[in-house]
Amino acid sequence: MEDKVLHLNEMPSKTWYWLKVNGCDIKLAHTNGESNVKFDKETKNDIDISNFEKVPTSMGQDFSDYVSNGKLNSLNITSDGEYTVTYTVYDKVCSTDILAVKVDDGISAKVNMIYMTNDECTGSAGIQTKIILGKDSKLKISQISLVSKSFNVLNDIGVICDDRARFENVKIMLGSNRTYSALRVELKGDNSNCRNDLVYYGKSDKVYDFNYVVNHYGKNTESEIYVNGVLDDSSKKTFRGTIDFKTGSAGSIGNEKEDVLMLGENVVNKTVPIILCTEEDVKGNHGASIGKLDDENLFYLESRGLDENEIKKLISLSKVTSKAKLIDNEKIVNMITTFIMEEMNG
Amino acid sequence: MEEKTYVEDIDRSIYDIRNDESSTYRIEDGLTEEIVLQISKEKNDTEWMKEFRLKSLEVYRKTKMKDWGPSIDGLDMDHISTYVRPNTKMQNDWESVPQDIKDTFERLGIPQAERKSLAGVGAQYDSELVYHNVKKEVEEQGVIYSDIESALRGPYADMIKEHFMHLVPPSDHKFAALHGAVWSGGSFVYVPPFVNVDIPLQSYFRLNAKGAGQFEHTLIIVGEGANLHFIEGCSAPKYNVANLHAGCVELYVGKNAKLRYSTIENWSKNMYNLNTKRAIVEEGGSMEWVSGSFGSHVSYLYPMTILNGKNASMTYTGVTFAGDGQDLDTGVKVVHNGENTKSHMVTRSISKSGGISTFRSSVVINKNAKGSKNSVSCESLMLDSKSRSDTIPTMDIKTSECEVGHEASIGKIGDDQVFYLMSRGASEEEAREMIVRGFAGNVSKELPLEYALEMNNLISLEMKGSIG
Repeated sequence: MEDKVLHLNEMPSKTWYWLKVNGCDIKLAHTNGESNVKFDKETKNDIDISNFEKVPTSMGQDFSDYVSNGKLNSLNITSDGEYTVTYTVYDKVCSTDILAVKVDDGISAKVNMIYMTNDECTGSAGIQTKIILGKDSKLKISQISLVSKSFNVLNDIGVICDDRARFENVKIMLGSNRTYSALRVELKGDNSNCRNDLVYYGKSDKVYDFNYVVNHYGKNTESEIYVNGVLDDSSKKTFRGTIDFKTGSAGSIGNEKEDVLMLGENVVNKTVPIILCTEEDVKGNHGASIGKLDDENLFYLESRGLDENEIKKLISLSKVTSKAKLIDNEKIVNMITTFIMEEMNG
Repeated sequence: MEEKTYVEDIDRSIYDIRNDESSTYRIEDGLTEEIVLQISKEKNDTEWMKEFRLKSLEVYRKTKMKDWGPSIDGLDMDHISTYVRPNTKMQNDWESVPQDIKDTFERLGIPQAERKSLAGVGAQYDSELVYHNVKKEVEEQGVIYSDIESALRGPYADMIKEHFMHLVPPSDHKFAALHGAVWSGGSFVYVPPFVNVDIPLQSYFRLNAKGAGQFEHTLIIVGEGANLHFIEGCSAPKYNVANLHAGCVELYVGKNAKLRYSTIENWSKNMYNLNTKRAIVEEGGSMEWVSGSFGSHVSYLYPMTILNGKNASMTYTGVTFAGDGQDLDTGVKVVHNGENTKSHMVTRSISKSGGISTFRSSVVINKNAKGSKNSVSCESLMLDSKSRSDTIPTMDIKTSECEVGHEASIGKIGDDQVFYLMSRGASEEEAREMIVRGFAGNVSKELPLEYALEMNNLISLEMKGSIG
């Protein structure tokens, strides 16, 4: 069967086509197998999935269609707790999965999603996560990719937040040959808020393509997007981050910040930090800084006996681990640290 | 409520003067090969220019409309006349210009500005230049400031042919192609190497005709080590039908040369302003853009600079004010091709009374532009929740040997700022006007005084009745 062509990650507001950032087109093999999904504790799998049709995501309709027949799992979180779900995909498998998460009013939870493969594994994993957060609930969802460098990951997440709900997302995107990741947060309820952290490490000819969208609907909603990454060798990255203040979102604040460390000779970085606004009484800020190692810092570390290669590794490691610590799970942080060190030395 | 009523009666007569069109020659509405050939005949084009127009028309027909940015559904080329000629030839003495046209430019302050503070003026009325003059002392420096059509037949004909629509080819976008087919009027400036033109040259564009387009072409070549400030102004009376402006500006900045290009755009609010401006800067050269956008119903305007030679630099300082009925999509583009090139962009945008202001930019740093630096600072002010303000910047960086910084913010006038000024005796309206003027001060302080005053007047006009 011929590969499917999927149009992914289209920006809510397009710009000049010659920049090639409005979206991306990829070829992907049809689903031909399943991932091995393992939850670390027993979970209630009794969610009415039809409620999640209203949860939008931002990877696009092509991807939603692609995963629509994927294996469905759900988490109906009715009490405080932490859950870890591991997706393991085997060689030459192209799998699709859907995870539906509902967090009841007033409940605080953490969910860790880990994507793993064996070494030298080819194939792909397409995972769509849809979340509904009740009033006064809190969810931190960490998505960690520790897959082989020949593997492709497509990770799409959509959230609706009710009044005073808080959503936190930490994404650690390591390994893989091509990673496509999208996030969409709908701050529907008044005083709802979110924080989204992303770190990536680009090596050899890796490709990263991201599309983050946060829509402010409710009053006094707040959003934060922090993106940090390293691009080395010939890796390429596109990050589109949209903060959209809708009419009625008075008193809301949105902040977006991206730092990109460019190390390699043939790297390509594309950054599109967008703010859209139809509400007067808001504050929106974005900032980006892109460039090489700071000369002063480089000199300082060299004077301490480190060569340039060691410095690159040190700084790359520190970027990844500082984000990993946000997960607040020692076992997972150790997994990440081990993986990144192997990747850097590999 | 009384203040709002007052706004509608506010005196804009200096911009809204409409002169009688009965003695003008006006080509029929629409866009056909016959019309393009008729324009070519009117212009007494050389053969190459005639062929260029026809090829441009072909490109226009084949190019699709883009699907981003403000809607231009209200623009129907079948109801636009692409050539309107006033009943006068070009003069170099204001007394020889027909009275009604002269009066229009007098009210706009052009002859006075020329006397006081300009080295030369080109005044375009509809599709033709009606006045062109340059001070003797500037001519004696070897500076050429002429209407472009005469220059196409003079000693600089080859230079113009070599440069004309090379920086902005017809294939660039649909309205560049339209310009290539029906362009008329505009200026050619050549500043020889190492010549410093101390005082500015100015072109002023006035579109009087209803349901018409203006397609002037400005070509400026600044030789090695030379220095020029060029100012552009424009206006038109308001009609209840669409008018179109699809001009083109091509700027060549030589090695170690400096060019400042300042614009106060005040087209009427029925105008579709689809203008294209582009500069290419050689080694050590410097390009400065100063841009105030206050008019038009719809604008697509993104001055672009290609930093071609090493150590070339660009600054862009702009302000956009989108009021009722306006959808202004403005910004800036830069491409770093040479090593150690620098670009710095500071923009301010204001939207009120349902206006839509979009800041759109692109920064491209190519692989060979090692050591380059770029910074962008963009602030947007929304004065009410009927309006819209969007920021859509893109950075495309292909080398690790560079530094790029970007910051943008959006918000409203702070209540604490208004309170402070009111506690010092200002009314609320005065306080808001002062804050907005200060917000736009990045542009006004870069302009010669007369233009800064005009800009401040435009802000005042827009801000009247903004309360209540």
